[in-house]
Amino acid sequence: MEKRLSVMIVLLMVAATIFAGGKQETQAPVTAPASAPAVTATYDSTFKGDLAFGGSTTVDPIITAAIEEWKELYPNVHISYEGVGSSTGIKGVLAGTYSLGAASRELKAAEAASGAVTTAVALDAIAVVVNSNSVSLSNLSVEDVAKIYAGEITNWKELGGADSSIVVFNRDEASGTYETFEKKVMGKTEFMKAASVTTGNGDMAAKVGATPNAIGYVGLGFISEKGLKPLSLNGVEASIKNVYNGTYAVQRNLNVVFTELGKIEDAFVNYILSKDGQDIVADLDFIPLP
Amino acid sequence: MKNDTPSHERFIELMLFLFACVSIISVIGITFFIFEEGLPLFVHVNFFEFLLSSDWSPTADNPSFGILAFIIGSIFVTTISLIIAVPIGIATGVFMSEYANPKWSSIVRKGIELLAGIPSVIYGLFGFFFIAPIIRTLTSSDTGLGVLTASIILGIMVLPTIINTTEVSLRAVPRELKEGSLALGATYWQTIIRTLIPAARSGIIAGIVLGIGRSIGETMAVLMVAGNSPIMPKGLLSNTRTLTMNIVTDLKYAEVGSLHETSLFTTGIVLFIFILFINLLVHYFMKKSLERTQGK
Repeated sequence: MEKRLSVMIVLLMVAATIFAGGKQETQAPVTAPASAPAVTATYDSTFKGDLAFGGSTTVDPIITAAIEEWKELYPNVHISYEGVGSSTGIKGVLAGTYSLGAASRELKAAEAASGAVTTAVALDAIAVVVNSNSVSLSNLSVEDVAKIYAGEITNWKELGGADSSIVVFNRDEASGTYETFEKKVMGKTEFMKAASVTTGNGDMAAKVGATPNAIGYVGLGFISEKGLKPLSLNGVEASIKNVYNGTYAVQRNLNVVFTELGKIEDAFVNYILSKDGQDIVADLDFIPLP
Repeated sequence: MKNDTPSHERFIELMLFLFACVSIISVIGITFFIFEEGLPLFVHVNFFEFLLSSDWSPTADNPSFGILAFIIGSIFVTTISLIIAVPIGIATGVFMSEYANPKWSSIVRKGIELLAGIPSVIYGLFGFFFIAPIIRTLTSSDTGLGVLTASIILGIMVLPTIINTTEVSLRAVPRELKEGSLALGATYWQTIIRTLIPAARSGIIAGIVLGIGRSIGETMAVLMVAGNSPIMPKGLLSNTRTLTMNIVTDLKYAEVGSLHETSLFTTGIVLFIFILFINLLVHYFMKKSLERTQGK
């Protein structure tokens, strides 16, 4: 009963974010700094002006939260962030439309050659999860996960589990989590279209947790939700430690992109890299830099 | 006479008129907004391809915007929900207006009012935690999500609309018709089936069409139970995605200013036209019903 209640609460929260038109897919932030964060060494009261940033929708919540905090620190600086996607963001930086961009991927050779530079501001990792009550497996190879999502493996028995069909939950095509999973797990393989589509990490966690024989994937911050069992991939457990030492396969850097850092932009990037900035990263269920 | 009205009376009249304009302005504003945001899609995407293709891959390298699967999904789910709701709704309406004693009538009415007031998220939760496991146990469906579960939930959601309009229309049938039928020796049941329901037909149909509108526009509840795969539904147990679900699912992540975002507004236009058409139907049947009961 208690379990059902907590899953219900998660679903309700998912519903709440949808109703609120919220962009981020997090639970309520655990702590929000009540007042302006401690002034860092780079604080400069002469900062003022309007700045336009833009790029990845995945990094959007981090940048937007940092901008919110900055409003109190530098009331004369007005920053806008447009979530136009990584590629458009990098283009915008190269064209001078944005003085700072954000990308949830690394630069392509041509982009680097044009003068774009990146700095990682956070890490993102995705765990493959199964319904803990019905799936006995605890490790899968990345290839097998890809085959499940391609619809080539349809029964747990083919992987050494019980004889029951695999219930596959996927994410909406445009989500950053989907994108990372596609890039790091699927590679060139196509997703099957028939899988049920969930609309957020919370929704995914609730549905996999409540559906027998289900498999899904969530951001690392969600693996301890009720009814979920995170799988090891290629024998490597999904944990922050393995993300930091680089052995966990499904991870990526979240970057800021620029050609040349202006004074204010430099201070802004330093702010995200500071302890306050990394706290924001952790609050949003991304992984702070080691 | 008008000139004698105190000035504050005229002020109140003016204020009330302005308030009355709020809804009209809103409707015009919303219409303008979705058409302005959605129509530019057809500069880049063929109109017929948008409506007649079922390949929805808005973020692929070679993007494709086909919403046929969602149109069919909406129509499919709505149709099944009405197949479930119409018999139950009309039967309940007949019971309330013709059979129930005041005590029962009041109990049932309170239940229906409650049903109408439950937020759709709760219907979604109920569907996911109660209906889906039952469907999972009774059928070959692995998830218990899909067309059937969504239709059952929608069916329950539109019941109050159908029950209320049925009851009101039956009560509005002229007393002489009923008495005439009974006087000719028809049984009570024959009177209901052959006289009352045909006489109240337009009103009942208007209620059903209102139900269609509610069913096709519902978002939250179906989002939680329909499975949400962007595929053509293949049967009652197949996952499906409706027009409303498509907008909610993709809008959160669609890149601002992208064709993908525009296509969601265009999906909204299609939904808008559906609803407009349904409203015209309701209007037509309401008018007919009024004429009939006034004996024209």
